[in-house]
Amino acid sequence: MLDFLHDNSIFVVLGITLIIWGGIVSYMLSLDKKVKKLEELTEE
Amino acid sequence: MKGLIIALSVTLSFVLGFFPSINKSKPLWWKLLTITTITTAIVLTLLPPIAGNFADLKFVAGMEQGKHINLLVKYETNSQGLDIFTDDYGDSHFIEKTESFNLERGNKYIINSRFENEKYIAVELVSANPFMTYPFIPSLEDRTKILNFHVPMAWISVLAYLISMIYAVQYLRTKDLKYDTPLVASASLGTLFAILATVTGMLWAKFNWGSFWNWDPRQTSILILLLIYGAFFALRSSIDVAESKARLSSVYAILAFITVPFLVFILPRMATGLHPGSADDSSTGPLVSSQSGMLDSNMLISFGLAMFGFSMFFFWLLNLQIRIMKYRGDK
Repeated sequence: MLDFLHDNSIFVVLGITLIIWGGIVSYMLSLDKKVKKLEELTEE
Repeated sequence: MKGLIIALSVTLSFVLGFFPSINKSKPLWWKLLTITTITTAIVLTLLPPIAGNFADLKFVAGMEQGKHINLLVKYETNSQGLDIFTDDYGDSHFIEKTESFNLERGNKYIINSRFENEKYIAVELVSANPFMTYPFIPSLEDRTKILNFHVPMAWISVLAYLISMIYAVQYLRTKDLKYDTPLVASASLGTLFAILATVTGMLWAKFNWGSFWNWDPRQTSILILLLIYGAFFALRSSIDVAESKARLSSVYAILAFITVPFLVFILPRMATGLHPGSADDSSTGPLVSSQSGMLDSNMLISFGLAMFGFSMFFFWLLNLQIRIMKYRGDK
């Protein structure tokens, strides 16, 4: 695995990019959830 | 075809962006579609290698001796029974030093090669039967791939300013303050994406043109656009009365949007400059050639996905921004 990544470094770049994208997505999803909760509270 | 795919991805994202409503929570499938599309666009942009043909290598060798690039070639036997390699343009040559690579006839290979003394010489076998490759553009090389991230940023800023203008018209028509929230949310996101387009373009320009800022017509026009919308926020923050603020910013948003097509689509294409697509551009070849209207078919797939995915992502951000602003206002 390490040898493969060493020889094909574009997969390392891809991994880093996807981790950052994953972080942005989780932040967006949690923000969406929080806003939804707040909206439900105000409706009540 | 290029126009059709781009128009389709943009129209689809516009229709889905307003589904079910601009200020209501988006359904789960909508969010998953956005996430999957962008993830696929990232993978399809980064993974496929750049590979050219024999003419590209010959051209590059003429510019810089000893330079080696990836060649996409099919290994076969010609009518005289000799081993040859044929590129996608039907150009056939023998590539020396490929004996140790253990190649099979009929397969496609990416062979990193150089051109010396009228001979093609293999440097390294990169891959066999690649599932996807991008074309080699002498002036861009690996930087070709920025197209899939940089262009959607610039496009989203136009989309955001258009939405801002639509809500400005709605406000002036109805005088209902509920339209002021999407107006300002969209304009602020548009400015954020215009800044991202400028910064990513500057980083690319450093390695393509030699310096971060070149006063190219494209750079100058986006700077003017940023200044115009900067004044929009200055105007808004200087007025306290909500009605006056909404009325004046609506009028300003409509006037500001009139400049957008000229600054983004017309002026940089009419003026001569360094940016691909300018009036005297002849170096971008089949990738973004404005003359032929062509875009490489593989690039078209990932570019279409990136345009669709990032436009959807913008609508998600806009939706959250509007809902947060609405909640704050309600309080």
